[in-house]
Amino acid sequence: MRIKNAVRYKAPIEMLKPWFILMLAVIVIAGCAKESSEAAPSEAKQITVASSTDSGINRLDAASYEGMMQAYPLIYDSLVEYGEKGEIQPALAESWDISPDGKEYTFHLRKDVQFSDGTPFNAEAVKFSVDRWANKPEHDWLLTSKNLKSVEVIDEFTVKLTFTKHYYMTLAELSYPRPFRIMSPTSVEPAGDPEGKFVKAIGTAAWVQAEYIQDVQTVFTPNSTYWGDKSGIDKLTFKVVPDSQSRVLAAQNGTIDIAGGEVSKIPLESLSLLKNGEKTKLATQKGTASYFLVVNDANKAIADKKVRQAINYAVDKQSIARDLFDGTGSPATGILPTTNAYVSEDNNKGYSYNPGMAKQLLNEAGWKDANGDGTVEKEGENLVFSLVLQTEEYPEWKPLAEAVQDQLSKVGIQVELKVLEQASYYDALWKNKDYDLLIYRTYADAFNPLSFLMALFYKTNEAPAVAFGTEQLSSLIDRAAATLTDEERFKAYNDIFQLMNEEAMSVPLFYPDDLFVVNNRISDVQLGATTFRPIVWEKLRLDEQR
Amino acid sequence: MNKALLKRLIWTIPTLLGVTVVTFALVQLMPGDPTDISLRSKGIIPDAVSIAEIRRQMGLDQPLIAQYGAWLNEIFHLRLGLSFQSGLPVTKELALRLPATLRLMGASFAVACILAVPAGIVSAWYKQQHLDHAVRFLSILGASLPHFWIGAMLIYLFCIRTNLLPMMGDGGIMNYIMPSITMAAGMAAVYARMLRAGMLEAIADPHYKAARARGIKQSRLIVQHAIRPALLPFITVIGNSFGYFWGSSIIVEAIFSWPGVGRLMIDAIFNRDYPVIQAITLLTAACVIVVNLAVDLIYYWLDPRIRAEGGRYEEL
Amino acid sequence: MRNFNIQRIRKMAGAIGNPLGNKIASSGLYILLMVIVVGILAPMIAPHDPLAVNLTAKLLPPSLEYPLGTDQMGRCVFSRIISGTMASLVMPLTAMALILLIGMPLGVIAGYYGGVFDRIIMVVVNTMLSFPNLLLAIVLTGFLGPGTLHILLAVVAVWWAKYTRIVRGMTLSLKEKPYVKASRGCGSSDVWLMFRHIVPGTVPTVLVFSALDVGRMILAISGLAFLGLGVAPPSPEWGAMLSDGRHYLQTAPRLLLSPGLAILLVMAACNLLGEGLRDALDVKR
Repeated sequence: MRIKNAVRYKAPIEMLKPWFILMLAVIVIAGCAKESSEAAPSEAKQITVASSTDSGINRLDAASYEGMMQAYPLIYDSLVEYGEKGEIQPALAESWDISPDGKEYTFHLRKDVQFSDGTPFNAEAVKFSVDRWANKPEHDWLLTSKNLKSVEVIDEFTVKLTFTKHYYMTLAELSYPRPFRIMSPTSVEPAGDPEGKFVKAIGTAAWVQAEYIQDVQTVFTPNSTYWGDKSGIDKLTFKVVPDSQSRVLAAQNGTIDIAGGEVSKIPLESLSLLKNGEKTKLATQKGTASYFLVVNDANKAIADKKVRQAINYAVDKQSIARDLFDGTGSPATGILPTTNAYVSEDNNKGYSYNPGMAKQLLNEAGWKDANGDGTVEKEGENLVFSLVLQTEEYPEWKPLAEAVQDQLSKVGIQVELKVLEQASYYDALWKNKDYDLLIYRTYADAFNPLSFLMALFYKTNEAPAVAFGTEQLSSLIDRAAATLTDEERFKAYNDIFQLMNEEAMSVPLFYPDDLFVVNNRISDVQLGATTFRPIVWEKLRLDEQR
Repeated sequence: MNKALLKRLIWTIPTLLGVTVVTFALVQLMPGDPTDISLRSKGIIPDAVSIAEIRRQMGLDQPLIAQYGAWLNEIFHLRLGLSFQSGLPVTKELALRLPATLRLMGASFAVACILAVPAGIVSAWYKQQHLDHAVRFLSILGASLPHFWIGAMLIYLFCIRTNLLPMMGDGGIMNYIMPSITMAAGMAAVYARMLRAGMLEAIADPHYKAARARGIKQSRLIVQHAIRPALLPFITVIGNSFGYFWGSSIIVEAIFSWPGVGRLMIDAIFNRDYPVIQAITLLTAACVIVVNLAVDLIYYWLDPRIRAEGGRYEEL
Repeated sequence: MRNFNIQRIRKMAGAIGNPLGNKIASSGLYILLMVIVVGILAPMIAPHDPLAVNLTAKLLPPSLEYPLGTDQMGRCVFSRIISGTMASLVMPLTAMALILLIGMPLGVIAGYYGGVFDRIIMVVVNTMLSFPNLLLAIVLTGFLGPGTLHILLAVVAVWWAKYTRIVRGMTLSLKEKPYVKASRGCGSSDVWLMFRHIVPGTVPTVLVFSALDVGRMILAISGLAFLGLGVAPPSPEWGAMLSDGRHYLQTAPRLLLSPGLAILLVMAACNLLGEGLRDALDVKR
């Protein structure tokens, strides 16, 4: 065909006009199908926080595990709150008495409190909440629920909880984000029935639910009947932003005001941008969690204490903190940072970086690089470990694992990285132990040290420990749990940490800081003592001039 | 004439059944025990007794065939089960998310057409000239870039550098621009190429030459005799792009925090939320089948010469 | 809907021997060959060990020592890109080979014999084709877990049906050709017929589609990497590099750019090759 001939016609572009108009119309219709809900910047003092998951406020039963952890304390108060280094502070309970045998807890409640819907807060309301969780099988992992014998209303503002056994963590457990917080009897239907069906989240805490669009955002407004200090802002919006990179960008252009912590982790790579950004600053404090390697002693090589110690010596914790993570945390020494209760400089020494020592220990254990291929071997077999990790929740574990891989290769240990998706990763950790080394994090704040040790390092006659366990360690943990005084407890934990260190039961890697990026227009950012109450939201202030 | 059509309709049924078998089998293939996972996702540490009890309640102790039958019956009554994660009925979760994804797909389709129709026409008209080369180069570029690369670049240009467009979430029309371009880029290239080929074929056709010889108005000539015949095969691509858009929505929704089915899906996969995964896979496949059937019917209706026999084997 | 005649088949068959008869196709082929050569020679020409971590030299800008700078682990990006060629290309190419190995025989047999076997195959094929590629690949890799082998499996499981359908459709029309019938009349065996007359007839179309699909697989694999379902680190696969690099969009955009361009180059080559072959071999849509 002769296309050239066609050129004498006008260019067809003109004829495309109807197409353009039609298509524009389509896209406009598509776009307008949903009314623009662009949040107009009104006078209302509003702060938007990024969260990586939905708040789940519509099923935020105080005695359930359905919602975002940080959402519970916004709505519900607990009897006592967890402070720095495990200091228990009064909340709904002004004071409390513990019987000498540690089995009876009597709480004296505040008298000036009511639930956000006007329901009076009193001993009956506490009893309702306690009845809702008491002895339920799903809370058996918390001894406070499992060992609860009775709850008695002494008078209008006094409640007594009686347990079958003494357990020193009871107060700490009561401060957990769930399931022990106090919910209004009117939250369920029929009202006041502990077995009632949950209908609405009603509590005594600083915030109430205002608006909720699932997977988009949850808006909280100050609780007008709140017993504590009045909030400095009018609206607190949790906007769901699942992608960490999007959170950084949103913080930079001011779409969100706060991101970080466990609510919405910000990638460490972006911190330099946010540190002294045009619109952003950082708020940090030392964290209470740590990243460490779980070692699987089912592997014959790892069962040898010298090999475990060699791995500890081979990891350059300083370089990880300084070079890899740009000083956004501290080099790890022991399994838990000293920001935790009962952890001190003395019982938390850890292993220094000493590749020479590592090689020597490997040598003593019979692992030598005889054939010169760079990997040590014993009886003709190379020393190869699998290192399992996940990146959905902790994207920084990938570079961390690569750094560890490189450092171990320098002492002749070959490491194969296995990045699993979240569910398989947790299967590997909790169920099938399909790993030699695995990156994990310790629990944080109120869950440390006892809940964490129980969960990972406690071995019973029926079941082996999830991470690493010996009979000796289990009996020490039992001893710590049974202690009645702080002094005894300190001694017990000293023994525990020293044993874990000496036996190299784990490979501590890094103590990450709690990191938040905050818009410059916000002042008075006070970070909380726990990951489930990461920021004291009601204390936030907005600078007017910006 | 309707015999072929009827055959086409009837053969949809085994395909639909096949889809249910594959969806059901997927969950059987998955590592891990659904009961265990459903308990753990609620923060409960399961023990052997409670697992056995729940397995019995859920009918998981029945033989596979019986389980499949029971499941099929549930599906038939549109009961898709409860999400492990949220505890809500899956149908409700889907109803909540589906509109956002459909809107995004609609917008992406529109964008793909806006980009592709002029490009295809211009490219065919100026065959082997600079404009054609430029269009073809651009379309290869569009089809060659990973979604998240395009998405990241758009975000960089329009949010970081200039702050012209909102970065994430569903909302006003401005929110649609970047995700729909990201999603449409690959498809626009395919559309443009199809249109170009179709138009070239039409122009080469004796009908076109005859029409031109008759000296009919140029605009009519092009629309009636070059573009219109080219649009016919175009319709079949729509059926295929539906599946393509659906697949890419998983990635695009992750980039732009779009509250749609794609994100529900990825969360479900990472959390092993079996009922949700099953429901979405099933829904997607059923939609693809229905859309393809519809396309075939339209095609049949527009062009009776087409024999349904032999199948359409086209790209994608 | 497809008309074949002997001359056309012969023309096609002749063209296969000389795909460079088309300029576009040959440019695609040349680019691809060049990339493969670079990939093979990578261990010799890479200035650094692509896996050597050096945390004190991370995120360096391009320099004489590091032509494309270093990544977040202080590894040489240039060395990683060229060493990653094989990792990035071998997987889709292997997958393609497996897909053809599974898809083509099934298609030929189904089309040639027809009957119940054909019906069953077609139901399976139509079922598989009802699932969007990317969706099914993500679900499968999500369940199997990331890793080269699993990704390969997922890609093959997702893509084979398309080729069975294409080949079966072509077989249906090819077996009615007079020369095939004639050959059968002369007493040729079925196997001979299939190998001698039918398979060669399907090759041009299959070639075009495979060239295009290899490109698509590279995209799909990079999409999996984006979702955290990529190959195991520290392997320098391009999709994984790209996915890592996106965290540095603002601070070090080159980490996003260089693997992006590498993918683009190969994708473009595949597209050129596919499109060129399509024109040269006169394969219809």
